[in-house]
Amino acid sequence: MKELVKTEDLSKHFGGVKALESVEISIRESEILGVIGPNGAGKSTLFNVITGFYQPTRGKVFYNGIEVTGHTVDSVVDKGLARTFQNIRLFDQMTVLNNVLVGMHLQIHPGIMETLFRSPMKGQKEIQARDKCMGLLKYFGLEKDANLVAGNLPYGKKRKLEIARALASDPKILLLDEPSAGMNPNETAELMNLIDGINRQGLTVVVIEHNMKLIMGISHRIVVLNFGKKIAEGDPGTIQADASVIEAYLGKEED
Amino acid sequence: MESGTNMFFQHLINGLSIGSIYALIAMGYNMVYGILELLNFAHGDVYAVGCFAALGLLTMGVHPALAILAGIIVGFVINLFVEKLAYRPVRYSGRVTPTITAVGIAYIMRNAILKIWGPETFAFDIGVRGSNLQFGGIIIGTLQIYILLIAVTCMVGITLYLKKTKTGQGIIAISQSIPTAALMGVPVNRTISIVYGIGGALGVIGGVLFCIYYDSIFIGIGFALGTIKAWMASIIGGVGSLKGAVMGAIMLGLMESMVSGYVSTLYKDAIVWLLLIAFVLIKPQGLFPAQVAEKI
Amino acid sequence: MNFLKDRKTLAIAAVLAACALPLVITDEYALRVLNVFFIYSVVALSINLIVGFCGQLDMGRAAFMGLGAYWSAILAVRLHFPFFVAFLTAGIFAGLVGAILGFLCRKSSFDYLTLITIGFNVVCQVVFLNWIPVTNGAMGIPKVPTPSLFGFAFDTNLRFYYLALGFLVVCYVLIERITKSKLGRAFEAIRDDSIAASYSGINIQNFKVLNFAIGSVFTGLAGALLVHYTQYASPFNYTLDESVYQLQMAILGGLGSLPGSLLGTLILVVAPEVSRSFYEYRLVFVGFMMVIMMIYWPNGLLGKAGVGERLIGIMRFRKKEPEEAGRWTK
Repeated sequence: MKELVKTEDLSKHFGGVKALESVEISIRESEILGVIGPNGAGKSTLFNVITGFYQPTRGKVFYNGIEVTGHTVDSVVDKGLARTFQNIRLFDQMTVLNNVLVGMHLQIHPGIMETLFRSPMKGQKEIQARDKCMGLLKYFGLEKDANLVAGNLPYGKKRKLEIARALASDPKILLLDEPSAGMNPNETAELMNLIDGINRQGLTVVVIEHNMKLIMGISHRIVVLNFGKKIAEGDPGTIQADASVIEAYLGKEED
Repeated sequence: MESGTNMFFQHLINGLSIGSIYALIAMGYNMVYGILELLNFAHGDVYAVGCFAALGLLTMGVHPALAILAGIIVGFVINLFVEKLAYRPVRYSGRVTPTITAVGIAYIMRNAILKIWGPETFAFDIGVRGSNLQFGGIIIGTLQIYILLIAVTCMVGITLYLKKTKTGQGIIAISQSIPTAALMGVPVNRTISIVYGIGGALGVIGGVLFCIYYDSIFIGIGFALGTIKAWMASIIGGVGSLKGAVMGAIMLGLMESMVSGYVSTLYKDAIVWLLLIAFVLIKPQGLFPAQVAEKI
Repeated sequence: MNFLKDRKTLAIAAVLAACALPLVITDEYALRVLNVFFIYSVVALSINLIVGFCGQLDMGRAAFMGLGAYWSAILAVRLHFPFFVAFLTAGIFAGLVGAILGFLCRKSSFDYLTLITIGFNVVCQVVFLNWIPVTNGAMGIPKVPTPSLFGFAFDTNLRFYYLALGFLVVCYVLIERITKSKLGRAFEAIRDDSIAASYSGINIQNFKVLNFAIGSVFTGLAGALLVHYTQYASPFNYTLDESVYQLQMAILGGLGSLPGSLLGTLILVVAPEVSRSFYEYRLVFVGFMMVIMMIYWPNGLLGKAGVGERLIGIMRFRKKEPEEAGRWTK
């Protein structure tokens, strides 16, 4: 299987704190990769460094064999990556539809002339983009909310909108940071179906999660971090039986 | 050349004096900025009210020490009121809204002063004339020494207050994370009020020292000579740390003194601003910024 | 009342009404006030674009009016360039300066940017006042010619009225097009969450600079047009107080609402003319306005859930529904 993303000796230090230390992972095409670990293990930091939000203290990141260490976020995202956030980051004062349209930012290329001399709503590319976004909203059951202000949505819909916006850019890789936070079991099951569905369409998904049922249920492979280091890697069955993983979550047994 | 070095040291001394005054004003400003990260646009105009209150009492014949103390209390109390009535309701409403509110308060205070006293410059006479000491060819005023002493005392006092008292520790907690501090039992609203109050009090002290130094007081001591200087100091020294505020203020004082002495007094403000704009390019966070990694 | 819902029809009606207005209002003084209102509306729109749509709190806009004004005045008076050359290049000049300043501050935090814009305003003021060989210092530049195009001189209040109205309409349409385009969405995304915006592929720094530059073009043009109307470039018109007053025009109407900028400007231009005490105390009024509005109506008069919407809600003229969702749901 093709390696879409690869990290080498990836490390991120904040002063004396080693948030990531010598992490080597790979993200393979069409897989669902789970990333788990106790709080503070460095999972979100990993996302942040891979996507260019943090510059690594040491190490390298590769996309399709090309090194992207040190690139800015918007440049990394241009290579086909999209992400959601632990604490939802929507454009609160913009409409639901516009939130998703921003996700298509890199796909829409109107000329300056078209913007200034024709009503932008009538431009060909703009109409196509809006249709596509409405399609996405429909997929998530949000089409009736298209013109509501995103900040007013209930929590569950906000999470969906964030994923819709991420998908609008037609990414090759989707990074989900604790997508089930705050969800009840029904919503979580819906989410699992959703992730499974988009993965079947060819999208590579990486999921940070604390919900073990979700992770074990959908992941093809799992990576476990603790104290900034990778301590285990493998399929769900292997991980569940791994002693170091159990120790990380439950603490060492007293002798 | 002897007189050349003398000139230099003279400018240095003057720069340190004015820098110390700026440090007091900047400290008060930075304490508020440190917890809420909001440009307190009204910082200068509010403490100016305290200074003018002192002026009012002075002209009525009140003993200077009492007048100044009253001014400090006025500065403290007005900030408490303003915080409760105008700032607290919009504390969590983004960045633009609270900043604009502060602008509004600034204009209200400024115009209140203008209506009562007018735009002229008044003498600020506390009845004591400082004397001058001479060292070689350099003149140091006793006033300048007092200013330095008062500024240092305040700095030390504030630092101790923050480290040793419960409220002080609460202030530090709030400056790192308001929700966490609240969960730990810090009385957030009361503490923030106190910070604004202290900021105002420090500002009045700095403002009064300024007026005594130049034996004059006018409306500009608030915004132009206070708020703006505090901003300039935080551009140089970085925001979020008291050390940065103080260092930035002193450097600002020195910069102004040098530019004024060696280049031009006419263009002094413009040149200093241009230097600051250049500074922002090279060191956008200032020299001593508080170290915070953004978490997403 | 269907036609009221169609914004385009409403807009066209408003423009036609404005064209017909001088038939009813013939008082020279009133026309003058309206002309000034038209020009300052463009300033407010530019502030809205920068502050309201992109969240860059610029508190020194007046500097850019001054830059446009002085450029145009110097070109027209000293170098005898025709009006439209002086005027249009003034906009380009202001835009370039805006681009440079924006570029210098591209990595600055929200607060530093505000401070820098204040500093820039101060610097410009000092330059206008003291760079005598170029700006003539405190004396200013008098005898700036009235606008003329192809020999037709807009030298009466009435003639200028139509020039200013046309200027406002063109600027409004252009700015509206920008705000409804991908560019406008990028600006708003930066305002609402710049981190999420960068994760949508938006280069924050580039777009901030672009926003600042585009806004400054409009501010500069407005400044230039105004100086050809007053026929005098004075260094005392571009102070920080002016900037704050102009900012309030955009805030009053509602940041993010283009019609709001017109309304806010109308109120703040007309009020000091109508009321002597408003003029004297205008900065205090603005101060109170700012404080009260930020607490109760931060979105201004015509912004979302602003005063206007609340009033209309009370009067039950409109139900609050997602209006145009229907256009896109099949």
